[in-house]
Formats: sequence, C-alpha cells, structure tokens
Amino acid sequence: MNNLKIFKMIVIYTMLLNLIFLTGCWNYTEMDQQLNVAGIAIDKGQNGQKYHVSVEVITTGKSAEQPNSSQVIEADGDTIFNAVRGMITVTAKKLYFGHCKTLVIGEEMAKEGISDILDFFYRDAEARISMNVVLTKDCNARDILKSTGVDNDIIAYEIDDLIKALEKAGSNSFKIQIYEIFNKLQSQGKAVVMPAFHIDKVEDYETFRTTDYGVFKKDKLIGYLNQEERKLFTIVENQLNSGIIDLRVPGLDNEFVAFEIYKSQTKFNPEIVNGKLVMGLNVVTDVFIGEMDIQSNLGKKADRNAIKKVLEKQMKNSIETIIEKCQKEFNSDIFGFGLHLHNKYPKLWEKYKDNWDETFKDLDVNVNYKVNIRGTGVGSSTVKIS
Amino acid sequence: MAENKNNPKNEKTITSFEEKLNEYELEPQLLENIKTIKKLFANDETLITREFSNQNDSSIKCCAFFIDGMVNNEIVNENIIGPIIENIFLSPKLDVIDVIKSQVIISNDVKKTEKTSEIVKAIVAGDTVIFINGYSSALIISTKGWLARSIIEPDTEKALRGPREGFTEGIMTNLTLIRRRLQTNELKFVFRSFGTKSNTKVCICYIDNIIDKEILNELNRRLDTIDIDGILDSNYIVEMIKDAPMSPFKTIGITERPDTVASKLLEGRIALVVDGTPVVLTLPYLFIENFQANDDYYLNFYFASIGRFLRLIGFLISVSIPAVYVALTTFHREMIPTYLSLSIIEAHKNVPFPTIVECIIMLLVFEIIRETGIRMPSNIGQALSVVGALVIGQAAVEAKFISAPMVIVVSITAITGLINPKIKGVTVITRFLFLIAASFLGFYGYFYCIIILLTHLFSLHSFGVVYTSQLCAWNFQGLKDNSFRASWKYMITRPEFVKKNNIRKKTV
Repeated sequence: MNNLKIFKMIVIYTMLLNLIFLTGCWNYTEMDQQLNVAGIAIDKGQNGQKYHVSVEVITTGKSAEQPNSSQVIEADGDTIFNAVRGMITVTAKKLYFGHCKTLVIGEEMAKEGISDILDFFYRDAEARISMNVVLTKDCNARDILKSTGVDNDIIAYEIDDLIKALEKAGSNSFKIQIYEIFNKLQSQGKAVVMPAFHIDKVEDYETFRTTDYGVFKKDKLIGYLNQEERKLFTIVENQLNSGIIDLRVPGLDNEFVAFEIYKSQTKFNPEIVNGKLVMGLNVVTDVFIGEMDIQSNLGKKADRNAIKKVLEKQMKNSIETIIEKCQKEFNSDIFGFGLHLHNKYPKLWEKYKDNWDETFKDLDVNVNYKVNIRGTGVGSSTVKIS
Repeated sequence: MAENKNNPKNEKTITSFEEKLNEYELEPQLLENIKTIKKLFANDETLITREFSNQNDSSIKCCAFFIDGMVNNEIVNENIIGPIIENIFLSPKLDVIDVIKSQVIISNDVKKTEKTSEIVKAIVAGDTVIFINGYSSALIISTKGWLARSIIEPDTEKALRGPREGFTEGIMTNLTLIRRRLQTNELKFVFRSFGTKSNTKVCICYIDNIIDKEILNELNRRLDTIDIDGILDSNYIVEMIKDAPMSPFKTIGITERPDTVASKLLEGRIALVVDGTPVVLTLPYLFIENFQANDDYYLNFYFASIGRFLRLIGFLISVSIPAVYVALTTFHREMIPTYLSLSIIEAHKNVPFPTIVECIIMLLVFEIIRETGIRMPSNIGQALSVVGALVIGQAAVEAKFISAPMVIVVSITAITGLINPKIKGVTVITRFLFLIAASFLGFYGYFYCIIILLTHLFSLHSFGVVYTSQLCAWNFQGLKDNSFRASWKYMITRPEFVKKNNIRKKTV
C-alpha cells in the first residue's frame, strides 16, 4: 500500500518535472546565430512583384579600429515576410528584427498605401511597434540606406539618432512610430504625417537630410509640407519646445528679428456658432528676443508691444495659410480637428463622422495667436553705429 | 517519528552502560580497587597510577589515578600528593578519608564518591582520583589542566573596529569571555552533555529576564532528542536540532566572537557554547542576520547602512546575474541595449559552446578554484592565483574558449558571492538552480525560481519565530535594524519575537 503511494508520488513528480524540461528551450537562440537588422526599406517591387525589400544588416566590429559596419541586402517578394525570409540565401543566418529601429517607405510605395506594409510589422513578434517610420522624397527608400552617414556607420541608427536629436532640439521635429500610425489610421479625425528624407550631397559623399513632412490622406501619401510649413505645423501640434522664429520687419527689405521660442501652447476649441461648426485655435507662445537688426528700445513697453503685434499678425496669417492648404489642397485633417471635436463633443462627432472630409474642407477656423515677450536677452538695446 | 521510537531505547542503553560500570563495586582493600581501575583502563597507557603513603604513618596508603597530559602536574604534586605524604597528624585512628578531604588536600573542588561510573568519568575528564586503603570510596579532585590556544581574533569574522577577542576551544574560557561582557546574575549558564562516547559539555546561555521561555523549552525538547556517539563541533548539534533540516538556509546562527554572542543574548536570543570548538550557536536566527556584520554596530550608522545595503544587493546579484545574463542573451535579445548586444555578439562569435554551457563551465571552474583555495596549504597560494587569473581570465578569452562578457559575469558573481560569507552555501545552490531554470525557460524560469525561493523563505521558522519576521511584517522598530541600521539612540526595542521585556532602556 505504502509502496504504491510512493510510486504514485514519484510518477507525479516526474511528470511535473517534465513539464519544465519538455518546453525544450522554445525560442532559445544564441545571439551570434542571428543577424541583427538595423533598418528596413520598402520600395515598389520589380519584375511584377509587389515589394522590393532592402534590409540593413549589422556586421559587428572587432575592435575600436574596426567599428561596427553595415551592408544592405535586397530581395523582391509579393509579401514582406517572404522577401525577408528569402534573404537567408544570402546571409546564411536568420534575420533578427528586435533591434530594427527604422522603417523607410519609398515615395511611390507610400502613394499606393502603407497599411499593407505596416501589417507585417504590427503582426510580427520580433519587430517593435515603436519603430520609427520615415518617408523618402524624390528617391527610393533603398538609396537612403545605401547613403553614407555623417557620424554613424549604421544608417538606420543614424536616422534614429537624428530624429531623437531633432525632437530634443525641438525646432521642427515630428517623429511617428508604427503604433501611432495604426492608432491614427483606425481612429479617424487625424491624418498621418511623417518626416520625409531625401538624398543630399555633403562634400564628396551622399548622405540624407530631412526637411519636409509627407502628408497622408487615409494611408496614401498626397503631398509634402516644406520646412517653413513644417515649423508651423509643429507649433499647432503642441510639439514645439524650442526653436527660432524669424520675423521680417515690415517695410524693410533686409532687416530681421529672431525670436527664440521658450514655450508654446495650443488649445483647440471647437464650438457651434449659429448652427455652424467653428474650430477655435488659441496659441500662446512665450519668446525671448535672440537677435535684432532694427533700432528699438525694448525697455519701453510700447516698443515691445509693437514688435509683438507684428509677430502675432505674421504668425496668424501663416497658420491660416497652412490650414487652408490642408483643407483645400490636401483635404487631410493633419491637425486633428476631428479628434478634438470627438474628445470634446462625442455626440456631435457622431453626426460629422461619416463625411468629415467634406465638413473639414469648408470648416471655419478661428485662429488667435498671442505672443508673450519674456525677455530681451542680456542687452536691451541694439548696437548703435554713430 | 523514527526519533521518538528510538529514543527511550537509547536512554536505556546509556543507563545500562553506567550500570555496567557501577557493577564494579569498590572494596576497602586498596589493591583490589587499583586492580579494578586498571582493568577498566586496560591497554590505556596514558593512565598514571601513583601509589604513595604518609611519611609519618606508612600504614596510610594511597593511590592516585590521573591521565597524563590532561592534568595540571603542579596541582597534583603540590596540592595533593605533597600534603598527604608530608602530613604529620594523620593516623589510622581518625576517619582518614574525611580528614584528607577537609584538612589535607588544598583544592577548590573535592568530592567523595562510591560510584565507579563517576570515578571513570572524572579520570577521563582530567581530574585526579585518590583511593585510600581501608575505604570503599574515593576522592575526586579537580585538576584539569591542558594546553589551550590563546585568545586571538577569529579569521572568519574580522572587524575593522571593535573587540578583537575570539572564542577558543575551551568551554570555560569561552564562558568567561561572555560573562566578562554581561556582568549580571541574570545571565544563566546551564550545562548539559551529549555524545555517548565524547561526553561533550554544552552550555545553554541566556539572560533570564529577557528570553521567551517557550523558545528555551523548545530548545531543551529538541536537545533531548539528540542521540549520537560523539560531538566534535557545534554543527553536529545544529543539524540535529534545526528547523527544516533539509533546507539549505541556516536557522541557527554561528559566531566566533564573544561580543556578537553578548549582543545576541541582549536581543533575547539563546547561545549554545559547545566544548571543543570556538564556534558558538545563537538562536533563533532570522534571515536578516545573514546580512548583519558585527562591524555594522561599531561603525558610524550611515556608513554601516551602506554596507548592509551592499550586502543585500550583493546577495541578489550573486544569485541572479548568471541566470539573467543567459536569459537575456538566449531568450530576450530585444531587452539588451542595441550597442551592448552588438558587443556581446562580437565577443561570442566563434566561441564553440552555447552560452549556458559556457556559463556552467565558468561557474564550476570558479567553485573549484574557491574550494582549492580553502583546502590547499597556504604557501602555494600564489601559484593558484597566477594560474587562475591567467588561464581563466586571459588565455581562455584569447583562445576563444570563453567569451569575454561571460568572464565579466562570472567575476561579478564570484565577488558578490563572497560579500556574504554567512550565506555562501545557499548562494551557490540557488545560483545554479536559477541558471538552469533560466536556460530552459528564460525570464519565465528565473521568476518561477524566485517565487519558489520566496515561498520557501517565508515558510521557514526558527524555533517558532518566522524566519523573515523582521522583513515582511510592518514593525517600525524592527525596520531600524534591517536593510539599514539606525543610530543606537533610536534602537529602543528588542526584536519582535521577544514578547515580554522588549524595551532595551532602563528608563522607558
């Protein structure tokens, strides 16, 4: 009797122990058995296939004299997954996407729609949904990966560094990651905007540079915002933490005032006026005066106010222009007016939801721009030449 | 269960052994008695039989028995044999044995006995036994005296500051060292002896007004169950009376420092001093005591708190680092910072073994070096360090046997493993368990093991006291001597398990 009990116990414990051992090291891989992917670029396919996938893989450096370097491997395929798997015929190792930081989407591909591409990255367990997504302008995505970095030998990581640095410097940054695109595509009321890179020549080598933003309607690229518009966009988006605004002094050809932005805050205020939807936009920007070409005594309140008024007017006009461009030219709600309406009046949004594009096109936008001059730098007056 | 069954039986054998000795009854004739003792100690040539008689009256014949080397010869010569021989008033008319006991022998401890068992015990303990012709009883005179090691600072528990005394092998010396620190009549010393052959004296020390009597009763109950032929070190007792005998965690503390014992007694703990070993046991023993060092209490409390904190972290690191490294590099590559992962990949290229094999080899090699360091004669230590550092550190990496990060991981593990010598054994065992679990299941296995470890820790008791009681229960005073040490000014109460009288100060 007792023996039977002991026997049963042994069997049960052996089975329990096997539960651990029979997992068979699922997912066990040595790090050096896989090839790390730094970035991936997707272009329109050749030879009738849907995608042309280029992958930047890292070759680890042996020492300080031989730093990490990268190579670009390309393949065509009707699905990204298939194309990437096919690369094993070149690389001899499985590709690993856990450290992939940048997804570059070619201009042509983006014009046809990006949702098919993103599905792979959203579905795959290895790839991070916090990967940066960037566009190209006037070039193929693979050209970006094949260009030369200024500081980093791994291009995809340099793009990541660049986006982070821009975000910190804050002047005209806007980074977007895969999950954010997904959220925006699914929620309506806010269109996707992505930084666009193009190839630029520095001394004797080709590198990349970002100046423009690609504007999307649904998941298709429909146009770009240039550098100036991009700055205004970031101000309205509340993303601007610092940066410089140049003001051309009215009436004078070559005289400028530079304002350093200290803090900028935007409030969206959708309301119904006379049965019509009006979007109120209140922007308050705190600035310091950083550089000034004209003679003015900033110690006086009147002089400061004069400059302030000019700046306020200029900014208001610029913002109205860019909003109009989005309404009429792109018909894409990049500022998220719909989203703000949804947040504030969820019931009203239900009414406008289905044909928001039409409503947005003719939406009245009421821009209020307020500037506070917080400081004038160390000196209060300009250098006088007698 | 088995113990309870055997116990009465064994007690019977012990009594029968004594009874067997007592069957040899003492006779009035001296020669008969000498014969009896010589028979009992047959083939023991260290037994010295000294026959002598009084100068004045040679009819008063005596015989002294003692064991060479166990006695202080000076006492035997000048205080026992000398006075009896030179005495002038002894005469057969008097009650010779009582006169000798009270008026002749100059000694602080003389006892008269008729029992053979007591005589034998006294002789083997280093006392001198005197038979006098015409009496069927004997005198036992305390003459213990043998060479002992001097009181030096213990190597295992060195302190930066504080007392430098350490226990020695003699139980009386050790008790003196404790008594000198706690000069009160409330300090109690209760003797018991264990081991049917070794007859080892064990002293239970406690401060009467502080301790919880239930703990003392429990200790005595467990000591009653001890059944062994010899006790050569206190660990024999530990393994027979500790809670959860199969657990690698210590539930009885050990120390070689009298100041530590004194402080534990003041905290309401009980100390067990075992004859023949400098290692004194203290109980109950809580988990946090593994991380308390005597230095903590003698140095500035800020500095001491940092040390305590480092020791706790060191334990965690030493147990976890190999498992975490293996889990990270083989299961969760995405959790390593990118550039670090690139360095690890480069280092691991062309290394023939999988990470887990590499890790186990390196840890085993370290354990071997450590064990060798303890066992080998100290004068060839240099050879070991040269071979260890050169072969394992440099050559193995250069020859691509082992990857460089693994050397870093193992050396961090080794260094942090040595930070807590009191919990070293547990660290080694848990480290390997964690590592193997992590190599099968990644972080899942690692955390699984942590849960098992914590469950085990929280289920342990030490003499009725919860092992982690200072750690888990909300007890503000307990926190003051925990992961940090508060100033002595604010450490007002004794540990939680002291139910009565737990205020340290007289005024409160």
